[in-house]
Amino acid sequence: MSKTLIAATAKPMVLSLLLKGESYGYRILMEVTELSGGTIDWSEALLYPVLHRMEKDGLIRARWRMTEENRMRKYYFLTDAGRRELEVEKQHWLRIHGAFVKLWNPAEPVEG
Amino acid sequence: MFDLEKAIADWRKTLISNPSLEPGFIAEIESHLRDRIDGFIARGRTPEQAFGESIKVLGESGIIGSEFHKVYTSRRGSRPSWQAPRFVPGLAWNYFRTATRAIRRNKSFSTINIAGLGLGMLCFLLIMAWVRNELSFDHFHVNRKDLYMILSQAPEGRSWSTTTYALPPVLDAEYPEVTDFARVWPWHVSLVKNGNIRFQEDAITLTDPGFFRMFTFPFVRGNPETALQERNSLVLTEDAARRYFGAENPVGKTLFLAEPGLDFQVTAVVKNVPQNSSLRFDMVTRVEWLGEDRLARWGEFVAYAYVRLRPGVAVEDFNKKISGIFQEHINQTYPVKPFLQPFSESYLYRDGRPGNIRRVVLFSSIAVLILLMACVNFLNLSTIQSAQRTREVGLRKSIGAGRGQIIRQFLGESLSTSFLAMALAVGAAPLLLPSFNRLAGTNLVLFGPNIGGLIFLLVLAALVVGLAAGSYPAFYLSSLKLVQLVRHRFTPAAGGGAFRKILIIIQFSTSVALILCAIIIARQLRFLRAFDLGFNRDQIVTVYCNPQLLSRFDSFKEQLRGHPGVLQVTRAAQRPLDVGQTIGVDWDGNPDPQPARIGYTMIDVDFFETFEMPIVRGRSLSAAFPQDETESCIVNEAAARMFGGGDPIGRMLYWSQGAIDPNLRNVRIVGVVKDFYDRSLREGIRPFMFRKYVPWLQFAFIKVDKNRISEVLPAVREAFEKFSPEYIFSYEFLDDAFNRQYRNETQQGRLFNVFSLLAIVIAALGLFGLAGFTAQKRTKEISIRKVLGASVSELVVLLAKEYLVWIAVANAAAWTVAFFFLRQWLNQFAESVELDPLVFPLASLAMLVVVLSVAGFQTVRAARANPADALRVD
Repeated sequence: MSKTLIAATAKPMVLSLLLKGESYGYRILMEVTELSGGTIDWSEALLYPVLHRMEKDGLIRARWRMTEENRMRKYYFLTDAGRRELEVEKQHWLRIHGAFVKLWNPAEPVEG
Repeated sequence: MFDLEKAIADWRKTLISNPSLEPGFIAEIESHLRDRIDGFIARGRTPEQAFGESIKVLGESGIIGSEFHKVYTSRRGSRPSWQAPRFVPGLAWNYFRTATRAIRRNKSFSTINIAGLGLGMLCFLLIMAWVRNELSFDHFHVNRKDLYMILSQAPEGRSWSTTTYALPPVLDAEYPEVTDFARVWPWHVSLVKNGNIRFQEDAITLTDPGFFRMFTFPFVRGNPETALQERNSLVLTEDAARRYFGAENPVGKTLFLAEPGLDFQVTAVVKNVPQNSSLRFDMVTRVEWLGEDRLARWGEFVAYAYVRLRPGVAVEDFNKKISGIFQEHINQTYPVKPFLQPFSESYLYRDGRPGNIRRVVLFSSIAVLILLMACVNFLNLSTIQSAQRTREVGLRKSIGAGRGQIIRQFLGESLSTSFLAMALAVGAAPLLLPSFNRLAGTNLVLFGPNIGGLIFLLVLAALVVGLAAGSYPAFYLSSLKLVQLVRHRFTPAAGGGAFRKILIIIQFSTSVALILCAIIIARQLRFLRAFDLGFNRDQIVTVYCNPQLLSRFDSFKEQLRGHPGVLQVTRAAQRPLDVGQTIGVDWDGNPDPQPARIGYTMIDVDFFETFEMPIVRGRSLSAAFPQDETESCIVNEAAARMFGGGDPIGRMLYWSQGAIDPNLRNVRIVGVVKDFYDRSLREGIRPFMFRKYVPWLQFAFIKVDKNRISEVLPAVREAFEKFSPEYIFSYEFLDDAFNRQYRNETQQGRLFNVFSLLAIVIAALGLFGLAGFTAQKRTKEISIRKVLGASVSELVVLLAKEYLVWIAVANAAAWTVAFFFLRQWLNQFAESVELDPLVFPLASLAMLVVVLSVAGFQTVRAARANPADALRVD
């Protein structure tokens, strides 16, 4: 998959994953790999800057917490702005998705 | 045993060094790494493997760092906050101010430095202007690639620049490779008249119609094709045209030439001959005026001749083809063969040998050496000066200047300085050019065509020097740590000391060698001027013997002899100094099947008496012997030796061929004159013969009483005007003509003096700086020695010892180079001064005085300083 596409999907993907509840970098990375069956391969150099950017933009927030293994870990969770942003993103992606479906489904010919 | 915690701690350190990663980010990435490691271990890896693979997945810290950086900047590709900006405009003024402050602090030092470099560049510029002028000789002819001069070569390899008149037309007619030819006789002399306007012209060139087709002298009027179509066509230069016709158009008008005594029609006007042309003339007409019989001759090698070859003809092949042409036309055993030399080389390689090119190489080398010396000095002095600015660099670094900024600051500063020096040199050059021209006897223009190359060289020099001189502070100082910089009394490391010493040694050798050459050249020139040539040339007035005067010479002579100030009067075909002709002479018992070539000239009675040339055997020529008109001759001792043993008096000789009447070919020796030099001292003594033959006697010689010169000259003029009222009186002292022969050497000597002086000045500057540098470096050593009881004089000796070693090495090199150069230079003279061994130490002594006074100043200053000042800080 192209770098630009991965980069474009990173924000809605992170927002969607965090919708289920707070999470941290490593788990997000694992979940993305798992969801895509290994076809989407995010690197740390992509993920962390994206997280920081979103935190700076106020879409998510983070807090350090002690884990069961007695280690500090930084957890990210959605803000209200994040939820709203996710809705907008969702609309965008569904519209794009709908367009492609129409295009690629021979049963429904394209107008014009 | 693998320690996971330690490995992680080490890894963390590599992240800390990245300025974009704040501690909080690092902690997050570390926690990520630990999660990964746990993941790998859960899948059964050892901790070591898990760590290794995790690190690999995480990638280079730099990549993460730069990605993090992007998050916190609004613009892509902008400068990270921890890097200094490339250029801070606010600092430009500050750079300028600190630079001028540094210059002001060491006012004299800086002046010397900049002026020294400027001086070197100035010398380079002037010498190169001269060199370029020499190299540009004859290059303005459009077809120069196809133009060749016909030279002659004797079997023993000696070659010379003339050929016979008969050869070029034959080459043109019989060889398809030759498309044009021109024989050139540049010395025709005549009185020229346009009504009342009369001038004695001595630069009338006689040549063939091909002359203006081959040599593209620009035409103002007329055209090259038809300019010399008729026998009485005459081409003038603009100056000559103005002399006779003022502003009028001279084409179609006539001028009367007293020789041959006919009217000539002006067919064209050309621009004045450029100074870088080896062909020089005021007027041009046809070569046929030399006489048809003369032009048909095969044995007389007096013609300059040029041919144009078809483009693409290989000249070596053509030379092979024509090598037997004299044998074909003269006889099978004739020893001379012709060959072509590219015309554009004929100035630098006169007679087919390196001539002027030697001077060109010599002076280019001097120019480059002087420039090099000046550059080296600039480099040294700038380095020393900037070493005093360590604290400034320290301060700049401590308030955040990046290394790149400091590099740019110092490089910019030294580049500006070197370009300032260049600007000074370029500005001063036009002002000094007139003096240079007087000195070198030239008429140079500084910025002629194709100046680009020279400017490029200078800019390159300024660039290289600026970069090199700035590199020490720029790269060395900027690399030092802050503490090293701000520590008191930082003295730069001795690095590059050996290199610097070698540079100084080269400067010294150059200076000493130049001094040596200047001394020897001056001595040789003095020697030449004073040399006894075997005839006395003092107080002899030379007057051109025009046809009118020639026919009434006896009355002229009589009138002059009546004057008490006139001691002798005679005449000859040439001045004794520049006899060029040779003639083939045979005699009974000649061991060689070929006639021997022997120099000759035609004279009148009283010749030997006028020039005080002693007759060692037999008698002089005299009007009392009628046979002196037809067959008597006087030979010199060298010729008498050549003819073999026995009494030379009465021996019969036979001229093999020649310009004169066939009835005059048998000659009898009536006297032997002491050997003498008939040409410049570059040639030796050669066998020589004198005959009396009135029609050729062009020059009258009047020996004058030294004390009555001022009254004799008007008397000579009066007599001249009485017996040749048509002509214009002019005269020359033979000494002046003689000295003109050594004009090249005299100029060379003068240039040498000036440039060796400059070289010494520049070398002294360099030493001044270096001595100061050394003394400064050893301040503490000197102070401690002083505290321990060393006296000033002991310290001076200690410091000077270092220079003395350099000087010894430099002298050894200089003596060797100068010895070989001077021996070669002196070898070109038949007579020369000895290479006096005393001169060598003398030159070195002169240099030593300079060194000691310059280095001594610095050394004494260092030695006399108060040791407390130097030692206080530590």
